[in-house]
Parts: sequence; structure tokens; C-alpha cells
Amino acid sequence: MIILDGRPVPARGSVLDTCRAAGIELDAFCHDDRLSEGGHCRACLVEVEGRCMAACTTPARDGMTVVTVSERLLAYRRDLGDLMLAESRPSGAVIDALARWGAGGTRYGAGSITTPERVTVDHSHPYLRLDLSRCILCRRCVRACDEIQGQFVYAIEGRGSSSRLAWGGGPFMDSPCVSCGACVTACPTGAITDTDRERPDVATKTVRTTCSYCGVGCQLEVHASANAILRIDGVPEAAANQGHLCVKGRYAHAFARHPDRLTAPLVRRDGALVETSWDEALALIAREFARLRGSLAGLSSSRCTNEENYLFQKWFRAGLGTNDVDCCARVCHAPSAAGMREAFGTGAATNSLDDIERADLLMVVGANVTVAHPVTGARIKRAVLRGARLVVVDPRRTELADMTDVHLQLRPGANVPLFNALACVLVEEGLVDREFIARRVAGWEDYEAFIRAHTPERWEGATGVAAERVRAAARLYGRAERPMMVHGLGVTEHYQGSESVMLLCNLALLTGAVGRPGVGINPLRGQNNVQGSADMGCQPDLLAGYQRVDDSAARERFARAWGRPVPEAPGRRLPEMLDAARAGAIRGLFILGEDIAQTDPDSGRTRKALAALEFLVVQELFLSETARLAHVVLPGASFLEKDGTFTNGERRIQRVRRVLDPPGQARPDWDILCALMAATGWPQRFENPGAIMDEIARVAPDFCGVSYARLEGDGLQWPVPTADHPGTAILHAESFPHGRGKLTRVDYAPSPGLGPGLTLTTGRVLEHYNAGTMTRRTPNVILVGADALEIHPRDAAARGIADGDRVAVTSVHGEARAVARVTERIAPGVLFLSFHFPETTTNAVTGDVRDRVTGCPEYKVTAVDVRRL
Amino acid sequence: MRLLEWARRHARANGWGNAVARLASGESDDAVARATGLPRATVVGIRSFYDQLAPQPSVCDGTACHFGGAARLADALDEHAPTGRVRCLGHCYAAPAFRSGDRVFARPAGETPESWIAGWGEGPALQEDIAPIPRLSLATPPVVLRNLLPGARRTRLGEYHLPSGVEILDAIGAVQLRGRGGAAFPTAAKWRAARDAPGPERFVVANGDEGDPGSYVDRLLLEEDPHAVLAGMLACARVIDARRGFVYIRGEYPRARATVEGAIREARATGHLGAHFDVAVVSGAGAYVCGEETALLRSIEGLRGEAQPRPPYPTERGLHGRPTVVQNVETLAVVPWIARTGRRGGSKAICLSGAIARPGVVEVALGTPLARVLEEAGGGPPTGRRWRMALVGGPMGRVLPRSRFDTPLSYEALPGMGHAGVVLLDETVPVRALAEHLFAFAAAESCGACAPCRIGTAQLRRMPDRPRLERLLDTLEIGSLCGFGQGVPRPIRDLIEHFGDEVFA
Repeated sequence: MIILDGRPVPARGSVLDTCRAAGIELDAFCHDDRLSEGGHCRACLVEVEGRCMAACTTPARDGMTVVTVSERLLAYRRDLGDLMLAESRPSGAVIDALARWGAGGTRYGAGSITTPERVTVDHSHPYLRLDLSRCILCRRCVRACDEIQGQFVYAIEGRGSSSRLAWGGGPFMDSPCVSCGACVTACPTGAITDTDRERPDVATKTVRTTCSYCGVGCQLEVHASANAILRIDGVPEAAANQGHLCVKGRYAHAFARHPDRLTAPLVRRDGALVETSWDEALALIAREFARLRGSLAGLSSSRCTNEENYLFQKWFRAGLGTNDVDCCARVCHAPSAAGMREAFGTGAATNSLDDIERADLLMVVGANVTVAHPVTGARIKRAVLRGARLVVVDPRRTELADMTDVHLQLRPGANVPLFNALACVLVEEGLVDREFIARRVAGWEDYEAFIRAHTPERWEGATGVAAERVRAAARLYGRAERPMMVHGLGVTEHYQGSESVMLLCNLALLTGAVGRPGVGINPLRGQNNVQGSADMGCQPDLLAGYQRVDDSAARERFARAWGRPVPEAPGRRLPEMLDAARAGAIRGLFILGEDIAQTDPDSGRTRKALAALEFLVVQELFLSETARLAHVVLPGASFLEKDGTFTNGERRIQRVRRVLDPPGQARPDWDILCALMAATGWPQRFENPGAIMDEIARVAPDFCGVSYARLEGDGLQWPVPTADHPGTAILHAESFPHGRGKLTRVDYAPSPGLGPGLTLTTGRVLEHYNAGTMTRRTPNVILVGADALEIHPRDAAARGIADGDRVAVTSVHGEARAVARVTERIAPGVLFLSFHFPETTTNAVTGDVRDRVTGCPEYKVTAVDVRRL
Repeated sequence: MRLLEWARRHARANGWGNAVARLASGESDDAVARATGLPRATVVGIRSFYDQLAPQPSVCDGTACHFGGAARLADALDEHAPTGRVRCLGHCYAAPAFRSGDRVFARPAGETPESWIAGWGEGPALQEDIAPIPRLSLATPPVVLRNLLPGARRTRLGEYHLPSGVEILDAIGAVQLRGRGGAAFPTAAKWRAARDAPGPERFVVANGDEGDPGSYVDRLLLEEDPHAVLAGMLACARVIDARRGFVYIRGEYPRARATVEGAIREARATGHLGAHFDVAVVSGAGAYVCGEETALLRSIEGLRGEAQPRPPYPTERGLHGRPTVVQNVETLAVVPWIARTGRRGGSKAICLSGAIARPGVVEVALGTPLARVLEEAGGGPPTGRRWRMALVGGPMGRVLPRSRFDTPLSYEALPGMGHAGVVLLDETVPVRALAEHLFAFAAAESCGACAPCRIGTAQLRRMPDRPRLERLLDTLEIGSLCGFGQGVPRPIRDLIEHFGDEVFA
């Protein structure tokens, strides 16, 4: 206990913590619960045993006597306030406190010692606004940037009274800022704010929902007026993001009210898409689908909700009578699901994102996390700053690669020999867990002899990675107490994608590195609901809950629940659908929220397939490249305009909540799907998405315990087998669902896509999301307005290419055009190009090679050449 | 603070590469950022913190020089090339002084500033000040100066036969040795705390950032008896079980760096350093506040030398987050003697400068009245001048008017006497001029990390009226983050007490 202003209270943490817990509010400008203490502002001074101490940095000890109000303290606070006003003109929480203290700025003259550097106002950034004249140098922004995002944008320049906040010189736009907004949330003075906070509009509601920009599943607090998003904050206590957000989640929301939004159904008349009524559009679809029954296929969307994906496959299978239903998980993480299901029995992340903070070694494989999953990327950076070791496997020197203990900069397409070599070192050097293998792993006997042949030395030539580095990485992994692997599309989008995932699983099985806190393998899901769209059965061979369509008992279960039979034969996968379209076997296609004309590989062939269709329906927010080719376009709703759930990469089912009404005649997608099912002869009785979830819980065992009532807050991580089950944070703790974990022997089969010259690999940039349909309609285009081709200086020089030149990248499939960025972040012989802008036509270049197991396209390896334009 | 963790991680990976040292050697911001892994903005921030990373010939503006002709020297030099300012070069006994590169120039003995400058002719005729620092002991036996008085033999590190760690700790505990740097903290308690703090390794740091104008005994020890300092570090290492030590030497003492490095080389060659305990020199780069231990540790780590909140104390989380003893040079130099003899080392080196006939270092028994030191060692005021006051212990120290020169020099009788540099000021120096000098010093050297000190010292510099000044002194004293801001009011309060409104005249 401590005696606080005369009454005994329990001591907890610092004196400041103790005061706050006891209901005594001290002004502490430089304190932020999320950050380390600075002790800079000296506002929270209290008397401890008669001595003045800063409450924030003074540990509370039993027996202490603390006084928070005294004549001396009151006089001190007023004087400190007057001093602050001599230096700056804060607004926000600080000025309120200064006024309360009685400081008016007259004692020393307001602004009397303000230096010229401190009147800097910076408007160079599309979102952030900096006005240093308001800054009291509390350094919360500095610590927020350092400790939340790990970006180190800010520093203090100068000494004493010429100290000022700085970002390395020049306009703020030129700083290494990643626009996460952490500093904005930390600033108590208004010195750092953003365009959203500067709006005069008053929010009439605040809604918690789930971000739709990637598989992290950040929880948003959306502040809105009747018809506009005003500002988005992170939900501080959310498990997925702990209040943090990235530039997309926090700022890129203008697309929702962009004039390009589709506001009425469109039908093609005389070659042009013209507006029509819902009745007419639905009737036309019903007519055409009846005519084309037997040659229909559907592509669902990993950006849509679980409920919509569930309805979609229900409609196609039992309503339209075909298992030809797939979704964009096919082109990203289908190999993760397949590979992990093979090895572990479940095709999903083994752990929670929280576990990143528990690991003592992080191995990041084929994932540019700070770009594609920025909030998880920041979490990894924080873990590394706290002392976790880091291995990065990536052909590019990514931001995380700068922080590594070992970076294995392999050639694109060399995953299999590299992963085998890592396993070989584990076996050779006795870093395997024999007890775990004996108890829980199958296939060890055959595997051991096989893997010993795959030495790092043998594969040096194929991987381009020095054997010693491979050994160093394997030792770090093998010797770590809590090794955690995260991987991305650099593993999956390959000829041997699924097999590569199995090889990563081998590493975990060999070392017993699965099924414990901080230990496991976690695919970073690309789109917000890749996990969910696969969970919900938008796959040709799997029904909701990964029940096999060729399993008659499973089919029977669904048929009973649905009252209609489920076709028996597994359907076509996305690439096969397009093949079938070109061949005339598929004649009608329904695409929900995907822009395959831009994002699928070898877009020349994709467009041919789309052109061959007799009837194409696209349900979209915008007239995307694909929608332009459609016969009917239906206006759907953005995630801000509907209810539902998304499932993030850690299997966490979280609520999506309606904030705005869809514009014009646009409708929530689940509602459109219900209407389509009715129009095609199978009316549904769902009042709302919650009712759809109730049906999902009835048919999918892993979701039995899921209901909207239980999804408040942080939702639930499946499996949730019963209504009182708390959800599952860590898989495979005791056993694998299919018995023993399976070691897989995989030989290297070089991709047919590899050529003798340059290799193109594709991916994302931080500021844009996938096809860019959303982010290109926000001020993010001011941050990044075009795709850029990354090329090593040596390759650039050999072709006379200078930084900033327009270049053409060509393959046997086609040509893409972009601006060259000459950088040593890419290895010689490798090029990198993003695919966010349709005019780049990145996917005109990528080819038709597919993962041997799942058919996932090989975006990461294309033989190309490049020339200056 | 995570930036620190980041810096430490990189430091470990890069062989403890140090951004301050790289900047001092002339590397660009970008090159330093690449080499250290620090963000560029951080590097720019570091550069802008230290005075001497933009090398420029500088005139000393320490107290003795300030009142000993620094302004005239600067005017005369500025006619030829612009000069900067530095506080202080530790040549207080030969003020005014001036630095160019690694060489220090000062007024030759026998000259006045006026006669010196008048005698230049066409251009500045400067002679490097290589004359030995005057020294004398009134204490018997001398301890601090035991190896430095005429006829004394220099003891090499290898010749110190140090007892075991336990015995060393017992010895310094028994004689109640207190830190000589200014805070007078019990040394044994500090070492015990570091020894008992959990950590994978521990460090010993010699604080050679003798920033107080008017003090130069640490310079004397570093330049002429570095083995005694190293022996003290070795003793500390034995007590706390440290494998590495650092001597932090202020950038204003280039010669000290050279001699300490020479002594380390010699000790390594004879096997007395290197195997179990090794020492490296780290140079400061011009920032008074780095004498404060938490700021000093940041500076060794190559960052901005800003004071940090305590706790945690360096003995728990110091250099690179490890338990660390930061100990003043003079304290370390007496430890081997105490450890060997077990005798009470109750003497202290006092530095005399300013208006005094015989400036220099004088070792006296603690408790000796100032007047006796001034008369017996200093020879009274220079002919024809009368003292007005003395500044004892630098700009965070005490002011004694002549009437109080009978005050004993001890931590009890004169709390705040600090490192006990004594600058005598004669009647030509107005009280207000000393106040202004101290305010200018405070404003120039505040690190800016906390609001009261950063803004308060800037207000002091604008010479507020008495009510505002007294209010400001309270705010600084109770609100400041470290001993710098808390100490700024100390001599000012003395001035007001003894001279009243004369301060504002």
C-alpha cells in the first residue's frame, strides 16, 4: 500500500499507474500506455516523501507517501505551463491541461523563445500534417514510431532550446515514413495530425469492424457521419493488431465514396454496358443460367465475407448443380492449405499472431511482411528489436532482411533445394528432436537417408546461397527454443509450391517445432478472407469445413441440411475453368469481386477465356478490367456497407459491421446472392448474415460453436467444436488430426518457367492492395502512383537502363511496361514488378506454369528480358 | 526505449561501432547510417547534439577564461578566421586558452592576456601549451597526487599488486570512500550494487568527462598518471566481475586520450590488460551534460548524450543495458592506494584558477578551509587585486563571497562543491556578469531532454527579473530530469543570498 493524498491505495507499477488506478488523474503529456517512459515533460510531478519526482518514472513502492496536490506543485505546474507556452503553442489535450493549471503564457511571453526551425509546417504528405510550432518535445511520436512500427522516422535534432523534432531533413514526404499513423495517435498537442482529423465534420457513430486489406484482420474503430467515413482508428485491445494499423487500413477509405462506384446494375446492350434495374438484371441472369446449366462455373471472392462465400458455393453446388466453384485462394495460398494438410492434417496456421512475440527465432520465408501484412510486419520488427533472432529467406533484400541474423537470398524457384538443404543440416548436425519424431512423426526411416544427400554444398549452384549461410540459418532454427516460421506467396506461388510447404513442415517436424506457444508454421494470408473463403467451401473438391465432396457421408450431410443434392464429382479449379472456357466447355461464368483480367497470370490467355464465354456476370464495386468484359455487372457493397465475418490468417473469425449504406442501388453481396438464388429457383430465408452463420455452424464441425453472439470482441479461432468451446489458439498441441505428422520426400524439379536470362518475380507494395481497385481510388496514389520495375544496377547497366527510365519487360506470353527502379535490394538476374496498376499489364508477362498439386499459378518465376523504351 | 535496443543490436553485430566516433572522424551522415545501421534521422540528431563534430578552432569560454580575457582573445583571432566556443579546455591556470585540432594554446606564463595578444605582431603567435600543470600537496601523505609530485616514481599497472575483489571492497567500504566527481556517492555501495545486479556481463566506466570549468585534475591524472586510473578500473573489475571497461575522455582533452591509449597499449603488451579485463577509450565530442552518468553511457553507445530517468540506475541497467559502474577518474586513481594501504584517503584535489597568484592543482585534506588553501597553495590574489568571490565546483557548484572563504572544503560544510574546481573572481567582475555567464553556460549546455531545463535555461539567459528568476529556480530545481537542471540554481541562490539585488544590477 502507498499513502496517496492521505488515503491508502495498493501500489501498482509506477506512481502514475497507482494514481490513475486510484482515480487521480495526473496530466502526463509524455506518457502513453503503449510506450516506454521518457520522463521528458515533467508535468506529472508529485511529492514523494516530500521530494518532487516525476510520477511516470518513479516506481511505486509499498510504504511510500505521495502527495499530488500542494501549493508547491500547483505553483510549479503553472510555471511549467508558462514555460511551455514560451516555446510552443500546443493544442489538444495539452492546452486544456495548461489552462487548467492557470498557465496563460504571460509570465515569460508566449512564443518568446520559439526558434525559426520550430515554425515548420509540413504539408508534403497526403495524410500526415506536421506543425512543429505546436510541439512540446514530449517525444511520444518518436517512441511510437520506434516502438510500435519500428520505423525510426523521427529524431530530435539540436540541443537544449534549439532541440526540435526532425525526420532527417527535407520535406516529410521524403522521410522513411510508412504512413501507419502511430505518431498521430500518440501526439497530444496537434503538432502531428492527419487529414482525417483535420475535417470539421462530427462523427455520429463509431463502429467496430474488421479491416479488408489483408489477412491480418486488424480491428477498426470507424468514425462516420451519416454518409461518410471520417476517420479510422485501431481498436486498442484487439488481439490481431493491438490498436495499430497501416496506411491502407487507417487511411485508404476514400474508395468507399468514390464517384467510380457502381450504383446500379449494368447490362450489355449493343456492345455497351448500360444501367438497368435489379429486376431486369436478375431475370436476365436467371434466363441465361437456365440456358447454360451444365456449363456454368463460379469464382468467389476472398475479399467477401464468410457468409457470402458460403452462400456462393451453396448456390453453385446445390442450386446450379455444379462443383465448378473456386475462389482466389487458388492463386495464393491453396498450396499452404494443401501442403500443411498433407503434413499436419490441417491446412491452416498452427498458431496465433500473438505467438510472434513469444518466439525466440522468427524465420520469414517468401514473405515481404512489412509491405503485404504491415501490422504483422511491425510485430515481427518489435520482436526482433526485443532480441528475437531473425532469418529471412527471400530473393529480395526486403525491409526485414535488413534486420536479420541471416538472410538467405536465394534464386527465385530454388525453394525446394534450399529447404531440403536446411533439413539436411538439421539431420547432419544432430539438431533434430528424436523424441518428438519417435512419438509423433511418420516416415523418418526413409526420410533420413534421403535427406542426407541434400547438403547445402550440393545445392549451392541451384540456390545461389553459400552453404555456410544455409548452415548458419539451420543452426539458428535448430537451436532455438521457440522457432516460429511465417511464410507467404514466395513459397506457394511456384511450380513446386505445395511441395515447398511440405518441406517447411518437414523442418518443424524434425525439430518438434509445432504445437507450442511461440512455435509453429504460419502462412500469412494475402487477402482479408482467404482463410474464410476456403473454410467456407469455395473450392471445387471441398465443402464448407474441408469436407470432401467425394465423401458420400459429407455430401449426404449437406444434402440433408440444404434439402437438395450435392453433385458428386469434384469440380474444376480456377485455371481449369479458364481452360474449359477457351475450349467451350464452360460457357457461363459468375465472378464475385475478383479482377482476374488484371490479376491472373498470362492475362492474354485469361482475356481470351473471358471473351469466349457466352455469358459473364461480375459482381463488383468498380468497373474493373474484368467487369468491362462482362454481360451483366452487379453493384456490390464494400466491407464498410455490410454485415458478416472475415477469418484472418490465424483462423480468427471476426465480425464485419455495416457503417454506411451502399451507394445508389448497390446492395450487400449476401443480399444479392440471396436474390440470385431466388431468381434461379431456390429462395433462401436468411434475414441477415447472422442466420447464414447459424447454418454454417450446423454443417461444418469446426464451426459448430460459432454464432454472432459469441463473436463480439476478438471473435473466435476455429476449431470451435461446441457452443462453449473457447476456440483454438494453437493447433496440434497433443496430436495431429490424421495421426502422425508426415515427413515428405521431395526432389527438386526445376520450373519449366525458368529461363537462361532474367527471372521476373511479382508482388505487392505497401500502399496498394492487389488489383488496386480500392487503393488506387484513395490518396495512396500520391504516395505510389505507378508500378516500378526493380532491377539490379548490374543488369540495368548492361542494358543501358537508368533509374527512372521507362522499360518494357517481355516474356513469351506478353509485355509489361513500367518505370525502372535501379536498386541493390534485388539480386543480379532477378527483376521485381508489382501488379497494382492495370496500365502496367504485369500479368501479360507471367506464364501458365502451375503448382503441381493445387494448380496455383507460378507468379514468382517468369523468364523475361527487359529493354529501355 | 527501443531505438537503444536497435542501436545495441547493431553495435554487437558491428563490433561495437560507434556513431559518434565515426562522425568525429569525418564520415558523412549517410556513411555512418550505413555502417551503424542507425536510421539517418537518428544520425543527424546525433551530429547536431555534439559541439565538436563540426571541427572549428575554438576559444575556451570556461569560467576562468571567460573572466580571464577570452573575449579579447576571440576578437583578436576572429580578425583572421572565425572561431567557435568551447567549455572548457582544462587550461584554467593559463587562461585564456584556445584549441585548434588536437592542440591547445594558452597564455604563456608571465604574460597578461593584453600583453600576450599585443605581442603577436602580424598574425596570432600561438604557442602550444605543453607546460606541466602546476601541482602541490598540502596533505600528508599525498594520495591523488602520490605519483605526480616532484621526485615521485610513476607506477605501472603491472606494479600494482591488487588484493582480491572482496578485500578491495572491504577496504574502500571501511574508509567510506565517496565519489570525487561531485555527487559524493559511497563508492563501495555502488560497486556492491553492480556486483549483485543480475546480468550476463558487467562494465566499468571511467568518467573522464571533466566538464566543470575550473577543474583539471582529471586531465592531470589522465595525461600523467593513466596507470593509476587503469589500476582503479582493474580493482573495480575485480569487485564486480567485469571483463570490459571504457575510459570516456572528453573531446576537449585530446592529449589525455593519447596518453591513456598509450598506457593501455603498454599494459596489454605486458599482459596486464587484455586477458581477463580489457579497456577501450571512447572520446566525447563536446557536450557538458555527458558528465552525467546516464548521458555519458548514451554517449559511449554512440547516441545523443541525453540524461535518462533514474531508476533504473546504471548499476542495474547501464552500458548496453548491463550492470555498470560509472566512476570518476580521481576516485578510481585513489582506489589502488586505499586497497593496498587500507588507509583513509581523506584528501581531495582542488584546482585553483582565475584571480590567484599561483594557480594549479593542490591536494588538501577534506575539511581544510578554503582561505588556507588560497593562501598557502595559491599565494593569495595576484598583486594589486582584491577578491570578490569564488565559484567552487563549476556552474552547478557554489559561490562563496570573500567573507565566507573560511568555509571548510568538505561535502558536509559545502554541499554542492562537486569536483571542487575553484575559480577566483576579483572586484573587477560584477556579480551580474557571473550570473550571466552561468546562465549562458546553462542555456548552451542543457541537453533539452526535459522541459523545465530546456525552456527554463533559455529563459534564464534572457535575464528575468527577480520574482521570475526565483520562480524559475524552483521550477528547475524540483522539475528537472537530471542533476544538471537541478544544479543550475545552486550558485545563483548563493549569489542572491550574498549579493541580493546586485545580481540584477
